[in-house]
Amino acid sequence: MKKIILYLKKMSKHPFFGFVLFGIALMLIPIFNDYLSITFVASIAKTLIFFIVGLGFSLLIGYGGLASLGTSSFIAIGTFTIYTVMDVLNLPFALAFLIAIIIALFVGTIFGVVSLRIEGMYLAIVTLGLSEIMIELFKNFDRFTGGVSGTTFSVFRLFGQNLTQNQTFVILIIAVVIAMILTYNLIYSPTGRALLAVKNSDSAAQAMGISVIKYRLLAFMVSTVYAVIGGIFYMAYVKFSMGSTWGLAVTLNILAAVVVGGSKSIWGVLIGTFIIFGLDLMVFKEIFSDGPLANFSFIISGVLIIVVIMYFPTGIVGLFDKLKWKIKKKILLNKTKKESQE
Amino acid sequence: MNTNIDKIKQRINHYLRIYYTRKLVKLYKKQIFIQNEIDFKNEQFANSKTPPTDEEKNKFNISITKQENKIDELIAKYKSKRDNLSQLMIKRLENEYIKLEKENEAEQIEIEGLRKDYLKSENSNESVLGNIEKQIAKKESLIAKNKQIISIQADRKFVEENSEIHLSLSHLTMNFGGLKAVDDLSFNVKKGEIFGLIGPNGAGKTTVFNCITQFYKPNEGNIFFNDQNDETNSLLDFKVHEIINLGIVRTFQNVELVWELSVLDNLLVGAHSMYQAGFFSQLFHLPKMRYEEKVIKTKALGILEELNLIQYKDVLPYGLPYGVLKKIELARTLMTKPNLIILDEPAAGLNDSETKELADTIRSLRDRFNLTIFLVEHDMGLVMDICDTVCAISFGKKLAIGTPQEIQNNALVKEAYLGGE
Repeated sequence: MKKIILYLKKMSKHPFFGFVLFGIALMLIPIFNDYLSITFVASIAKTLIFFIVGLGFSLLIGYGGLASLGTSSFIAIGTFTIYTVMDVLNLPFALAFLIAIIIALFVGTIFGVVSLRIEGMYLAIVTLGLSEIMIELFKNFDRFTGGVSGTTFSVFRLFGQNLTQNQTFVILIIAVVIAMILTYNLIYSPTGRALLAVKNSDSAAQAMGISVIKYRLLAFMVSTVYAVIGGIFYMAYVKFSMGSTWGLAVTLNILAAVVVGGSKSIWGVLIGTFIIFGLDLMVFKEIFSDGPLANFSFIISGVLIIVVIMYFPTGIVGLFDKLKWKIKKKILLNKTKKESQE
Repeated sequence: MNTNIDKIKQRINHYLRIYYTRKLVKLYKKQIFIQNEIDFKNEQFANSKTPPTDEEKNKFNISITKQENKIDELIAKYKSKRDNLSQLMIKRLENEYIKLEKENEAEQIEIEGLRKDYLKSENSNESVLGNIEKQIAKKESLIAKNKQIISIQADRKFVEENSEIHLSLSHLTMNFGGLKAVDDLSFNVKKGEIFGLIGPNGAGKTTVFNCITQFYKPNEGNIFFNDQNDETNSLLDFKVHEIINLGIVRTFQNVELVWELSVLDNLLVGAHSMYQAGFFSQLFHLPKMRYEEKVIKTKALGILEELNLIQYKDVLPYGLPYGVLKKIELARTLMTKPNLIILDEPAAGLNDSETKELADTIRSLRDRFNLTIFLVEHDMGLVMDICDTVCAISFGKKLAIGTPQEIQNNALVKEAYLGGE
């Protein structure tokens, strides 16, 4: 028994401990599925999907320093690719996944090439333009995307088995935990540091042997792959996707989530997505389903963004860190006081 | 038709040669990493509670020699390929230069003929005279250009033969639109010396630095560099981020650290070119990447200890005193075991005592790590104190080169700094 406690203590210091614990906590939802309302579970699933997308986006904006407004079109690519490959062409999921990743890498490269030439505001504008072009294309490829009226996904098949909503949710939780772990790995590796160096000053980064082209492209590719995987899960769970859903609003909400929570922290992105998407989907849409207050969350998130950007540039997570330091300081001061009294 | 095919072949050979050189440079980097590995293992053996058995030591030595042999084999392979290509290139260039020299002679004769015409037709109208003058000027500029090309080649040979020369600028010219920031600048930096480049504001010192580190591609001229294996490379063959692989590291005028990373992590960023683990091994934190991280971290801690910075290792650099930041930047340059460090105004913004400390640090680093140091500085006290050779430039042109005393007594330099009469 003692050994197990010691082992757990040791494990709790490991950075992945929190991620796995979070995953286990989420597992309660599919277990007690029968006692929860369908819309509540669906809104958590949607929030988790946007969390995966937000993780990729935080790598791009928090680490790469690249302001991109093309995220929603990447999600759309994921949704329509899985629909086309699985429903229209009747091919297995593994192939759909592979094709989606290849498309993501290709599209990410295109966006990355743009970022080599321009930076800051202008990059945001150009990526916005590119994503609008893609959405127009989706609206016009009726066969693959259902055109303007959108398309429904029949059933999510994995290894020849039709999965229920609940089973899909379990897979989504596993994917979330994996995404958190991989993001953590990437951040605390030479790649993460190189991305920060490029963001800080590209000339200094180049002098240290960091290829700006390579890391800008990489940042875009990774973030696109995250978004496309988010799109795949969206289609698998929500089962409906329409070209015009994926407009600027979704992109801006993801941007808001990442900025509010803290663009350089995994937990920060989680907090941000639960505030921006969760507040809307789980609280306001649930309580005031049709009333005038149904869209009130947008006002709250708008105010939050202004407050966070003005007073807490590191996001809400930065606030927690500050609190932690203050408590630590107080404890230390108390200790020294006691010692001096004695 | 044949000439076209020849030209295409030449191009292909040119790029192949650059490709092999880059591969070689990367392999040399691996050799340096293996040295770090040995240091790391030695430290581990020394620090471990149970003294290491011979078996462990042998196992490690065998694995190291295996790696070394593999790298040596690859180096020999690429070297022979590269050398063949460069011999071809040199042969071709020599033929070309003989042609150019002949061309020059012919042009010279033509110019003399034109001069005679000019004298003969002295009484005719001005347009004819002007025409002849123009022709002469054109031909003379062509001759000058050819001569420059030949002299650059001669410089290359000179650098190849004299291994004590570390860095050589040959007829370097850099234009920004109509402005000549660097104008036909040539000098040699010897191995193991502290070389100072001075000049009034706007003289083009930083442009020279940026040309050496390939931030700018010079319009004319070439830059030659003898690396640790005494192989002569033209720096123009490399991209900006590959320069560090040759052993050239630079610092910046205003400190360029990554403010969001701790001091130790900043040093690891400086060692970025040492990592060989690929993207996937980083994504999954595979053992290879973790091992590399450990090796490089021990090296970084060693360097921090040496420069008395160890107490700052987990601190964010933001808000540290300027002198400490400059020292951190110096420490970062040492991570890749360079042989030439380029310092851009190291004493800018430092007070007197900090400058003195910096001078001592630079000198001790030079002696300790066998470095060549090339610096631009406005603080004349520092330059005259630590430099072995000083080169003064003004408006992109070389004024004088010599020991600090010679420069101090040079009339041209005095005029450039204090203005003419």
